Amino acid sequence: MSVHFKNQLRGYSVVIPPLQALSRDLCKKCIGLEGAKTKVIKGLKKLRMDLENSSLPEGEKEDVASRINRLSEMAEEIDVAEETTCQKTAGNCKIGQACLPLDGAWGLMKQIAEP
Amino acid sequence: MSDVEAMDVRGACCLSTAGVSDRLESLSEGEILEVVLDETMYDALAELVREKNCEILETKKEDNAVMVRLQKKKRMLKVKPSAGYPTEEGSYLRGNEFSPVAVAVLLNAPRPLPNQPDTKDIKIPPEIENLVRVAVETGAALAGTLQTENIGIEKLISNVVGNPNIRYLVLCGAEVEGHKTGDALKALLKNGINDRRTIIGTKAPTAYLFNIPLEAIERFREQVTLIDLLGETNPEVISKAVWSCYQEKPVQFKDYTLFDPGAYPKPAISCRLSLMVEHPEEIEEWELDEIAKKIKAGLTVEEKKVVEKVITKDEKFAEIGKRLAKVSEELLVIAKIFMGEEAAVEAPRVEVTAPRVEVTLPKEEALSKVEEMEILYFENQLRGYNAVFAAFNALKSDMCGGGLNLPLAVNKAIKKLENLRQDLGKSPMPAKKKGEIDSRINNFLKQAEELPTEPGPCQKTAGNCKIGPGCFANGALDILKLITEPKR
Repeated sequence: MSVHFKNQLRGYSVVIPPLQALSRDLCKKCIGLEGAKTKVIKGLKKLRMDLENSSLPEGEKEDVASRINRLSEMAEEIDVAEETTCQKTAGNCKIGQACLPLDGAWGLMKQIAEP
Repeated sequence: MSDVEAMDVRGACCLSTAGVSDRLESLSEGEILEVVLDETMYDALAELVREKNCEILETKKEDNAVMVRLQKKKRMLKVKPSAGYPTEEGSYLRGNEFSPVAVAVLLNAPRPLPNQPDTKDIKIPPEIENLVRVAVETGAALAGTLQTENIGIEKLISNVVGNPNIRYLVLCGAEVEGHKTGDALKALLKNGINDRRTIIGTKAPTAYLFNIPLEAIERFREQVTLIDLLGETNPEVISKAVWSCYQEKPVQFKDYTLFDPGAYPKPAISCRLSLMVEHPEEIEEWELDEIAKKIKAGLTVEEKKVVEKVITKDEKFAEIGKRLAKVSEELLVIAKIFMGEEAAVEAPRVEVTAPRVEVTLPKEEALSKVEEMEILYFENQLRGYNAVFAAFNALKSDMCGGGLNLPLAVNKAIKKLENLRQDLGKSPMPAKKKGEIDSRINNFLKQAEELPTEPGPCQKTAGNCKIGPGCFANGALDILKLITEPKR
């Protein structure tokens, strides 16, 4: 498997569980969690597109595709309220400037700088 | 020889008989006249100049005479706004449409959620509503709230370019946390947008203007001057700013010299949001080029058909849903009848006045401000650990499980949790709450027992981890650093 796909899959495997954990927090009603969930889903979609255009051997492609599918299912299951609003703006989240789903969980993807 | 017409009325008994009054009356706009008169007549001329809507450009004294150069005042150009102005709906008030100033008050409050009845009544905070009202009452053409750095700014642009009389935009109110809308608006006016429809040089996360013509954006930037009062919430200051903008003669307001310059000398632009991108906040960096291309091309006929189809389909589903809900209500009533509950359903209502019983419920002791802040501190910390441990658990089955940094990060987290528990012991919060928080800390410490704590070889050094200089385990622990409030 190419390093690119390996790293990306590792990243998403680490990002999704904290988002799931935060969905049981007040973040469930937060636009930050909704945004992070969308970023993960779209990121995985892009990864699938990259995979289709890649020159990876068919067997490896299938392996990566099935892992992408599994992660996509996990991401879809992140429980977000139907209507969301920034919980800082709503006066419920008082942790400071940062956003746990976006800066914290999704921010873990920024650890990947290579290749 | 000068082309300027001159009138020498020295020795005249009054300006009317000397023909000055009639000449001032007949002066055309911008035409200049020089009048030489006795010094004693100067005040009378000054009065006449005001009366005849002229202005003095220059005064020269020579012996007992005065030379006054004057002209007819240029009329201030005001125009009718576009049909349908303001084209976009929003949370704003309309004032005099010939006023040269609009006011955008940043809104740092949740928007009403249409599908959640309990939040339907959420209103704009009264202090913000007051700023909007004050602005319009002082004389603004439009004053309203502004919340988002994309659709919000687009709506503002759309409404402003529909009225060329608006030449100033007062931006006030506290910055919208998360959106950074004030920063985005300032950057838009200063730098514009790039070819990916992104505002240049802003900290706002999704400052994309996809739904409005480029022509309208450029016009907006040319038409208005920003009066930057970001962070200002004092109604008196906002009122002074608005007042200064419509003065005929320049006045000083803070660092600005303000006056009404008349309408922008090009016709109004009437536009509405295309809503090609309804949720710009969901757009990813890698999608920008594609979207920008699509906007340039416009929706193809096929795409329009698809959109129409989807709308029709959705509407049909909604109608079916409504009918099914009605059927289910009726079925419930029928079911109750079969189950013998019809009597309860049909029973006449009997009003019974029960004797009033005074019940004294055990009151929960009101928390002091210090206790509230203490609870908030521990709750916030635990919110952080919630995310950190979820990431740790995921990393356990990754190569990090046998590596160096995950065990080190877990050990650090354990130490931090133990410190947190010590702090909890000293905290003045109520014992019941202390117990709850303590059990949550224990829960995390139990989770830590299932995680690797014995450092192994660094997986980067071993050549297995190739993500670059970053580290997932350290990154996970760093989530705690995001919690900066309340300070202790």
